[in-house]
Amino acid sequence: MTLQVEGATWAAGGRTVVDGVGFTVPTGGVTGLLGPNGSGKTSLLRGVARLSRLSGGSVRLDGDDVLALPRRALARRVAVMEQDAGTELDLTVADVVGLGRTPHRSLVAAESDADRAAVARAMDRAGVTGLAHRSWPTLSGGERQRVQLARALAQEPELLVLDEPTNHLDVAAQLQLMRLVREIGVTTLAALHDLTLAARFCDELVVLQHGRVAAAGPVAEVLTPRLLADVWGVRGQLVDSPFGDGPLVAIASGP
Amino acid sequence: MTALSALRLPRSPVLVVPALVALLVLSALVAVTIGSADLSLGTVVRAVFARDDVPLLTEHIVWQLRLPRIAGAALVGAGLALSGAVVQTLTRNALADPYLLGISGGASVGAVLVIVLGVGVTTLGGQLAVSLAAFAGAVLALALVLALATGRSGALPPGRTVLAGVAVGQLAYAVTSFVVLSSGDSDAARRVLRWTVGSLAGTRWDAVAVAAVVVGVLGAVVLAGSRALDAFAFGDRAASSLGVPVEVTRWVLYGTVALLTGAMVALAGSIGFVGLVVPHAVRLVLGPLHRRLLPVAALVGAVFLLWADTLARTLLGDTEVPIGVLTAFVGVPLFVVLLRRERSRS
Repeated sequence: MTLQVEGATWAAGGRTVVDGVGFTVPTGGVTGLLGPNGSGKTSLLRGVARLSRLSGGSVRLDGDDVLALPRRALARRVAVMEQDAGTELDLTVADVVGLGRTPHRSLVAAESDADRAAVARAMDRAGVTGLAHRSWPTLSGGERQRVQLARALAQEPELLVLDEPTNHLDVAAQLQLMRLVREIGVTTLAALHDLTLAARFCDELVVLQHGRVAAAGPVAEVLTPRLLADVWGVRGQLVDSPFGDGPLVAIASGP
Repeated sequence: MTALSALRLPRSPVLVVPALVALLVLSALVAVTIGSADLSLGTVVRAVFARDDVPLLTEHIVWQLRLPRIAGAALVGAGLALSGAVVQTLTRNALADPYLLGISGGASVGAVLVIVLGVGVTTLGGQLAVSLAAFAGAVLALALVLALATGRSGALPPGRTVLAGVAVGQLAYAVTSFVVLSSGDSDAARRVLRWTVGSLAGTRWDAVAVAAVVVGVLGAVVLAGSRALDAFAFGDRAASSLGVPVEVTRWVLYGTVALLTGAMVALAGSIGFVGLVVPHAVRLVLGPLHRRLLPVAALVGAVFLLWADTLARTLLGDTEVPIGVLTAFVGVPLFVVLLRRERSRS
């Protein structure tokens, strides 16, 4: 499954938030969407997943026009994890993951064996099977995000769209979630704030600045000292981890 | 695990629904025995299931006086509980009830125009005119609320919908008060108050038949919306990303609830607390998923109002206790117990 975005544009209140963005997410890979606050990451993700209506441009999934697909058909192919998704309701983990089956059922059809199997598989892959009967309000932040991931997987999507999935998580939970996303092997587009997480867990990066693509491509080609200075205004560079397990982004404390 | 978890029934309605249906039927039979003419359960069962086997007067009491009223109470209870459950979810407000959206206010305006000013009484007859006017008022009020709340895109944000409902409700209250007070008819106020707190006295089979069709058809529409309503748990965008057409769902379900509540109010006045307490209580016990919540809430609402009305017609001998007063007396303590239980859990 390949996602192709061309000329994506979205404006709100007379301000162009996303301005002619184009990039490709290759099949099976994890693509990180980076950029400072307000650079248009969330708006772009919503436009791509059609949670808001792009004012221009095209989004294609294996050549199919995402902007023209029926909503339910789209929900069977694209699953979204929003930033800090929450509810006041006393749903169990199994209930929440079961919501992922919504686009696969008709209005009146009862839960099928296929539904139950998909929910069980999704909980297993996201490592939340042991939490199945826990109530949502009692979960920790890390558990909530893994449950949301399981819900997204229960949709059996071709593309996962994640908006800052590690937001507010402690460092262990961040690593656990990103490792899961890698292991799952579903094509993923994830907005991230943490540059080191992005460098370690993404195959490709797209960097947004003022709603435009500032750079795109493999991690080492994108996260150059020059780009870090241009986009974030910081002095930094990729360095090898002392554990020999990939790159880190070292940032100087001053200009 | 806490008290409530232990109390939590199996979260599948497979067992709960038949148990409640049995309870409803049993309640109806027992309720028929209660009243100023004392009937034994055996007599009632014979009168219901083998109509020829009992004295004519008994048959009349059972079939013409008590059964239609009991059936009416059960239907109104089911309808109000369903409406309440849906409104609570759509407005994302646990304190919402079917009347929040100006529905009872609108119905009152309609009813008052008939009761006080006598609009339409000569052509339609008193009771029918009140019912039709209340129904029309309810539907018009909700239409006004939705028109005020909607944006250019057709969106209905929950916060704005609730505010518009409150505004229209206040306006309706002002109109009602003005009409009553300016009529100079001191008895009018009493009649209006009596209508407002609701009553099932004098319910006839033709009204029950209409209510049954309304609750059946609109209830089916609401039940078909279970899955879509569940998808709203994490908000509008989450529902949308699960393939649910958010605004279409809102409009269809608000419209359905308006018709349903309007019809219930037309039949029995605006009986309070059923639509607020019953869905809330069921949610606390069974969890918030609608395919469990809705059928169970409908049945619990039916049983609840059936007994409330039985008390209403018997508690003070021949004097009717307003049913709205009873639902509040029973509903408020129940609600407090459930709230305290939930608080101890969180």
